[in-house]
Amino acid sequence: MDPANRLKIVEPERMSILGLMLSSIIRSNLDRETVLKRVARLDGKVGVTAGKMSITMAFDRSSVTLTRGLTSGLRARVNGSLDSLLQVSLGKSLLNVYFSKAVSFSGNPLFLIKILPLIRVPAATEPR
Amino acid sequence: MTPNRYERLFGDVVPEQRLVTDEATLSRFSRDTTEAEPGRPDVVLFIENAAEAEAAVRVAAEHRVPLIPRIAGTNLGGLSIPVRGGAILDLTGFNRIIDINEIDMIAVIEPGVTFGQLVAELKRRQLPLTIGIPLSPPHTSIMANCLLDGLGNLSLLYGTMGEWITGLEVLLSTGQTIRTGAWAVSDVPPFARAPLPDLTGLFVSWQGTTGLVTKMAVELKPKLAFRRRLFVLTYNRRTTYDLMRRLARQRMFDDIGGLSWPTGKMMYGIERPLERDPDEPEFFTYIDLSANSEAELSIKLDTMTRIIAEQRSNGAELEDPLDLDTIVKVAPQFEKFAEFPTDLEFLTQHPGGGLSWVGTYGPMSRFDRAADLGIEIMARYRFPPLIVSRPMKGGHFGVLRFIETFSRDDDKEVEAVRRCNAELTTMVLEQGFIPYKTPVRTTAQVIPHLWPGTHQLMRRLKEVLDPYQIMNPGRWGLDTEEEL
Repeated sequence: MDPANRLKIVEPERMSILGLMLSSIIRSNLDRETVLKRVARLDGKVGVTAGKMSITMAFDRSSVTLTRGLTSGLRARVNGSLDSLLQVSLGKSLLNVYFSKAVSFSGNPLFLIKILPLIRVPAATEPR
Repeated sequence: MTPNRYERLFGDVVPEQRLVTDEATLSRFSRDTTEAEPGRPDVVLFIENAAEAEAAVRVAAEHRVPLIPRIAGTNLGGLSIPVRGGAILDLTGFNRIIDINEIDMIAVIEPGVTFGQLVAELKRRQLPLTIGIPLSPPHTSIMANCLLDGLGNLSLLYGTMGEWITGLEVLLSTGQTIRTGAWAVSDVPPFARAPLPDLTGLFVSWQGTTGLVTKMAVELKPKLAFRRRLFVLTYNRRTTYDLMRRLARQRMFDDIGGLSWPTGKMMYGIERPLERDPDEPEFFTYIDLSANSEAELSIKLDTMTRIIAEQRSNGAELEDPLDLDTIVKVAPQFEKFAEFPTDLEFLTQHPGGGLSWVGTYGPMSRFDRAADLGIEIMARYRFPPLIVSRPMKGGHFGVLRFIETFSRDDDKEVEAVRRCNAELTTMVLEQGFIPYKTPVRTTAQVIPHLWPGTHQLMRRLKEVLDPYQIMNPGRWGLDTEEEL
């Protein structure tokens, strides 16, 4: 698939800073072969809420689409402060933030675990 | 080729290669990033020292040639664009750091010394000192920012940069050199403006109309070892300004700055964000702290956290502080805010490269209303509501700026900026705010609001200090032939 079409943002000019930050991380991850293979197996939507901001990430086995707000048919939801979610993106364990009550989850936890590599900030040394 | 009039006049002032009259250079110096009307100079002189400056002033006075001082030209007010032709004195190369007195914490510098240069020099000498640094590129001039009464990242504690000046050495169009502050007493180091009659103000905010400053003594401040910069996301401007007002009066924080939501989007490459996700924060408010020890830093952080918690318990919507280091790891774009001076390229590197603003100082008690009205005006002209707000001098007042990016190649857009800025200026004046680094067009709007005796005195002072009317004419309605 054309790398430029792997990530779509619906109405990018109206996307919240949460969506823009996540899109930037996802875009850099989509350059990595291992993550691409994982995306090819993902189908469904995840809702992410940080403070008052929400976005939906929709996977269709070939691409990721980010939409402002929460849409219907979510397979999982993540909710927490922006700081907590950034810490997850920087590698903090999901269980850790869950048990410290900094972040809450609902829906299918397995699906969440599958999308995790996509929203983690890649280390400079990670293979592409 | 026969030399033209200006080449003949100034031929002995600087070496030939530093006297420029070619069309490309004159055209480059005839405009800046703003919507200001272009104004062509007749000659550009690249001045490198006081003797050359003195010679240029002498020739200009004798032949009544306007002199326009210029360094980086990034004042966002068209202040170094000639209004009546003449000679631009490019002072970029007139840039020695003459002295850094570590004990008195004073630097003596020439006009071309830049923020980047001084910061590098302090670092090289391993001096734990700093200066108030504006949100501008490293190549901008310290002296220009001080003389235009701009601000820096320590203005919350110490006020406008004009207040940091402890003494000036100024060349008048009469050929006389004067000194201000304690420096006026011979052999006394320029330690303060006090206690002599303070003449420094005759050259601050006058936009180069009263004399050519060739040396400036300016305060430095201790650079504390422990520093943090945090961002608090606030969901509306009421919360933002309440937070600023409360934090400002704690006397604990170096700087507090609210950047409205378009900033974040522009950093992600969205050139003209006009609509906000209604659920996203309206302001990113950065808070700078510094301390002598971890313990002191901890007290300051605790105070900030307590104030945020109190605000939240009163119903305000805001996020917990985010450490800038964390944000930068996730969003490297924010590294632009990690160290000052900094080049915020997203403001200038876009098609057409235009950048303008209405920058004002005003009472913090009126920020909310002025911001509401300013946002309405900007929306009407289809400009993103890009606002920067910072409390200054312990919260007595603050800076409120309305910023537009636009294409200078699009006449309609340039005209829209002019009209938008005119309307913003009318509004801010009605709300009790005063524009700073004031462009010619804006000055014309300010003058009718000036107390009549004030403007009359300004004109008389101009006549005394610049009897030949050569110093950056056309500004502040000061020239004798200008109609009031």
